[in-house]
Amino acid sequence: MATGDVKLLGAGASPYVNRVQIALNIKSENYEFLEEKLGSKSELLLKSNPIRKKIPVLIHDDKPICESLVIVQYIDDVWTSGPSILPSDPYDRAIARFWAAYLDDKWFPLMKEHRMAEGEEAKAAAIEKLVEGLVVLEEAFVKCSKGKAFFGGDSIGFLDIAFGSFLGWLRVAEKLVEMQLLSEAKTPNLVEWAERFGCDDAVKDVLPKTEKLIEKFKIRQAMAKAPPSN
Amino acid sequence: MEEVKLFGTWPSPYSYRVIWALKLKGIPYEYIEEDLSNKSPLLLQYNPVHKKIPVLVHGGKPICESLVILEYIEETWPENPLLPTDPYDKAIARFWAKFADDKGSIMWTMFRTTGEEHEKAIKDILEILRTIEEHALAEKKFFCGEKIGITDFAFVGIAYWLEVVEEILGLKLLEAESFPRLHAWIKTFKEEPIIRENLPDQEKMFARLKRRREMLLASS
Repeated sequence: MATGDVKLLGAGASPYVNRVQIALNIKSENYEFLEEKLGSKSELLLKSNPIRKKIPVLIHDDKPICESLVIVQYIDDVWTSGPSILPSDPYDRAIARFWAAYLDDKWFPLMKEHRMAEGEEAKAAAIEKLVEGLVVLEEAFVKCSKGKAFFGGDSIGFLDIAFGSFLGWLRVAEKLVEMQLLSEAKTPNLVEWAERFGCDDAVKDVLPKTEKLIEKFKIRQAMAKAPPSN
Repeated sequence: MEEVKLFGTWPSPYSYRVIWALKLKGIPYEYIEEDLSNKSPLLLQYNPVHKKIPVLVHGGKPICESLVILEYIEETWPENPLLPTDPYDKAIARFWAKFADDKGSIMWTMFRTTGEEHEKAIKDILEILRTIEEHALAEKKFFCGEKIGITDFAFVGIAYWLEVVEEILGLKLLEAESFPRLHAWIKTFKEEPIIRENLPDQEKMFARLKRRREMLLASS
């Protein structure tokens, strides 16, 4: 399939945007990165994603595609000469999609739950749920990887991207609560997987450093607390 | 062909999404009706993470989450396709199916609540219907063109359940004059033989939801 013109609307700190960047890197596909500024939405974003007004948006030959995992699958469908992102077997694909949905719908929202929780007890309860989720994901890793390095086998795949994109913010949470959420004790395989994922060629220049994310987090907190401007 | 089983419940839209896909592709299957107030050991074994229906079991291997199941069915039995083949059209189909799933719960929020929360849910639903009317349907027969597919199944909440909920709550949100495309789609959708022959009994559904609403009001 012809390469065509590829643009990505996004922000470096967004795990959802990171997913798309990693997918494009796996396919060695060049693209123009259009950075959206925090707190404002560009004309192009509102025009390309009028329904949800969110990043990431991939614009391929002027056609917009939205929703990070829909975009990743689109990239896999279009750039067929590069390494595959989704597994080839339909059952393995279903399992990858199942866990990606779990991450988006159940696990990652726990981070927000923890942020919004008031009081020590509520915060501790949210952390416990987060860790429980990681233990479930540890079991999933053992089953999916079948002894290999990644959820996708020998190389990173759909579920590695879906989960790995959250590692930056997971590290931020660990710093803020001063506790290891991914630990040798409870999730030894995931600890090693996270290391390998972060070093992968398609990933290493994409995931933001923890310090940068903490900076962004503090700016966001300050903006949320500031009185609204007219 | 390996054995196919479907664990579902008759009142659930998610169950029907899978039933329609299996029937449209002519896949024989065994249906097991679950009692969600007394979940079977098999269900808990097949879906330990969410403990929900539907669960498709193919050759002893379980697949959970209705949209994941639909993609699995599509990939395993490609005849009578339910997704476009063009990658861009496929992406659009998936986008709207996800939209339907993400926004679907608002209808149940409206159903379960009263007062301010209820009013907000009504407002949100009208906005969602407006979005679908303006952006999703264009002048097509179904969401992805001339043939019914996964995206249409994803919007079944609007096609069938919304009408029942509206009647119970005494509301009319989906007016024909305000939403001509949606109205046309609902009519076409319900006239599709596979759909028409596989929908919950309307009276039973109405009675069940009416009872539920009365119980909710009584306890609030």
